[in-house]
Amino acid sequence: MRADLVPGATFPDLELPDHAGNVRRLSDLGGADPLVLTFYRGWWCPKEQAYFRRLVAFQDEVEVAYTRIVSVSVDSPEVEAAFRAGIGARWTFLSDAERRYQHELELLETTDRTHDPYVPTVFTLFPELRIHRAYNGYWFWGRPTLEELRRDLREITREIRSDWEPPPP
Amino acid sequence: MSFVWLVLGPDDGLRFVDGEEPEPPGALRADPRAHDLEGDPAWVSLVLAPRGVSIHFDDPAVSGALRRTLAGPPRRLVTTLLRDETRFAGALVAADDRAELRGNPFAAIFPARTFRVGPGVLGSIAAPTGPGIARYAGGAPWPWDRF
Repeated sequence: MRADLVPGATFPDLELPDHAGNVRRLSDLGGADPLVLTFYRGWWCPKEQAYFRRLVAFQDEVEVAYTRIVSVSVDSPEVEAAFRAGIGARWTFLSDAERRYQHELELLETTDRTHDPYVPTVFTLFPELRIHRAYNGYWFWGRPTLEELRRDLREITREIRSDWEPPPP
Repeated sequence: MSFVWLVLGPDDGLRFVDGEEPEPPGALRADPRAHDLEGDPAWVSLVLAPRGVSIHFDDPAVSGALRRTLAGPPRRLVTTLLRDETRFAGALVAADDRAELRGNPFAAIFPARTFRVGPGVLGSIAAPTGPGIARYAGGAPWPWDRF
């Protein structure tokens, strides 16, 4: 992973086609909410299938928490759309089939010359793409658990929502 | 501004009024991005509650339709239609191709009808990032996504 992708730094504002082929900017997708950004190998990886089952379960909480999720891979939009539909995900997938950002972010998994995928990596981001935490998921246990994601999202939300403490009566 | 007034006229006419203006009689709240004076013609699937009927926006039927909307293929434009700050009265889904309107999830809640709208009326709204289905402020129609 690029050395400057650390807490407090601003994540690059990727511009990539989504699972429907429409070009999207990461900053637009994140808006003014906390964002979970996941880079994954591809639909074919059993670790990804296991991890995405967790995220799909997690979306039932995220959907009411003013928080967004974006997932990025080197799969084509059509393949991502099929994977997304198959697992029941309701968030946006971005396709870097041309591997436009893989080298820039230094997230190329060099040990897989067949697929040349992204190294599984998860970022939790503040609005305006400020990095809260980064997780190296090359080994499955490096990925954030749902408890760690809840902790991160609570910390981000507490910082960005001025009414975290309810107004006094 | 988090909404515009949508006024439904005779012969499937759609008229939008600035949300800052007084509420026109019978108007419904829509996402402000739904209206575009330079918008292309569109096919519309308009789901409307029968006269005198509305349900709470947080009714599980509405939440389910929002989930199916996020899970399904993106359309050029989706906006829920609100009677007031809390009541769901329908949804407007627009597409360039009529076939894209098949399976409108909101049509499972209230009756839907499909018709053509000319230029200069409807815009487009980028598909919501997901998976959010909660509204961002009192009276703001989903998918408006900021406070």
